[in-house]
Amino acid sequence: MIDLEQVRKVALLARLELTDAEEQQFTEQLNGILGYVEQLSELNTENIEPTTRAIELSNITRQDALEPFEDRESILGISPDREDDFFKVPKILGS
Amino acid sequence: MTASTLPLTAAEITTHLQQGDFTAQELVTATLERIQTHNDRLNCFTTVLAEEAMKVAAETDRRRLAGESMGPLAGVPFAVKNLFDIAGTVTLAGSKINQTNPPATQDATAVARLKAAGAILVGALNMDEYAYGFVTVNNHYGATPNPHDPTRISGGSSGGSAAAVSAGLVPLTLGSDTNGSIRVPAALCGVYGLKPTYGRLSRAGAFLFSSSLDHIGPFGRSVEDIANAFHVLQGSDDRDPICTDRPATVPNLSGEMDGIRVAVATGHFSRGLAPTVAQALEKVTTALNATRTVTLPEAARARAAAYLITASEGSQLHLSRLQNQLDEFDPATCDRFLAGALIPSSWYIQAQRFRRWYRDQVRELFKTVDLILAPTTPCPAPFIDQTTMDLEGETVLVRPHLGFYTQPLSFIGLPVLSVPIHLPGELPVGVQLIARPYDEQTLFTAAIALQQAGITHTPLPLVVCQD
Repeated sequence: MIDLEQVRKVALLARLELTDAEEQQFTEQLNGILGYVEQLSELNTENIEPTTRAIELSNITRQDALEPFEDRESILGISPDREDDFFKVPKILGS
Repeated sequence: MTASTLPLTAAEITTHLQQGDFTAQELVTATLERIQTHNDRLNCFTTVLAEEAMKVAAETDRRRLAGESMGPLAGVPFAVKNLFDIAGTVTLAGSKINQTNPPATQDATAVARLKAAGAILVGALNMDEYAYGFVTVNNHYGATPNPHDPTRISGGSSGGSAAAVSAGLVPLTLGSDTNGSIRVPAALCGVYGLKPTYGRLSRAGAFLFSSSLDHIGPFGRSVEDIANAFHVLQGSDDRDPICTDRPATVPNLSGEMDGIRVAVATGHFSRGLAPTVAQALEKVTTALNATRTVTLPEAARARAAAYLITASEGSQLHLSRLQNQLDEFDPATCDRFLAGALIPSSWYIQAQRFRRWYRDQVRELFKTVDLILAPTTPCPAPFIDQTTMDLEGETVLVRPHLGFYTQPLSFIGLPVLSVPIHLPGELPVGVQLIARPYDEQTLFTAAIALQQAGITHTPLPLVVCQD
């Protein structure tokens, strides 16, 4: 069961301004939705990874993998300021 | 050429134009007159682009006279649900809130592709606010009544798109479908409505609702028109990261059913059918010689999961508007968006976990069958002011339950074509033809077979004929 306090807390976190009547209404509605969730929980899906799409798509984003970049000098060369093999940045600590 | 000689299908229009029976300017003039005559009562159009359409029509005629190459839809008037971007026009998405947005700077990809094929855009169409609804009873822009019985709904959320085709105002429209928003109004208005495979057609420039479920697709009065529109709408698109880069396919409209294994969906899909819907399904089942049945496992739970995902994603999309402009929402959508904003993430993740399980189960089914038949809605169009309906002897709310048979299918992105069945003396209803992902061809094959056999057809509503 979801109670009024939980709805108030979530509404506050979501920065939603609800009236007293709305808080009561959404407490009831969320309990109705909880019925849907309970339907789903009756199936054993513990070892199944959640998907994110209606159909698995493989071309949305590239792999987020580390890769050595060969041309070190070209990256250092486009920095606003450098010193030897380092990027030089404004001092932000101390006086 | 006069407004009363319409409606024609897109294919008939291109033939007449090629033969010189009339010009594109005469056609667009007649189309605009027809819209003007009927729109006060039918409330399909929220924007009519008369001046722009006439300019394009003049250019179409000039090109034809000059012997220049013409696109496959040259001269065909079309209109789009008002969530598609039209350059120079504010994209309303059925809302009041969007009225203050700047006009779109470029056309949605789907609009641009139809224009590139020669079709002429004449306007934008009514819908449920932010596509959250199955009724097209919009608090800001009014209801779009059903052309077959104006005391009833057109269905939604693409109600304007379905009703405009049904009433013969334009031969071709575009809509969007998250849980049934193309198929439900197509069924209730008695026209064809295609929801292709998820990611098959670009959604760039369409105002999304629930990204992991949103599709776009065409409405038409014939299978040829649907197939031709689908053909030109295909193609990868950098502006829509979920749009497939599979090569475009050319629909084959031979109607040759040999080798296609057809089954009727049982279980959830055989529950709660009104007699008219059951008869319509039986007619299609017999015509396609479907002698077997299949059960999509846990389809009722798929509806529950689709609801959770839709409410969560839709609410997150609109969160800042819910925080700052709550009183400007349509009361009919506001509550559901707010409830969705309060759904815990663990519930959403559980629904996504179930989605993968369900998708894998249904994929297995398609190893033994190529085409599945199911009703589109439980009943013909309800009345505009009707809030509840009977489903299996229980009184349930109309709005969520019109998607009873459509939600478990879009949930896993299957391609579905709703075909129109008109039984004598009854309101139209629809039957869903369902195929495995990316196999729209099987839908076209079965649909053309049904059309050729006279099982499906799109008679003009009496209310329009009498004007």
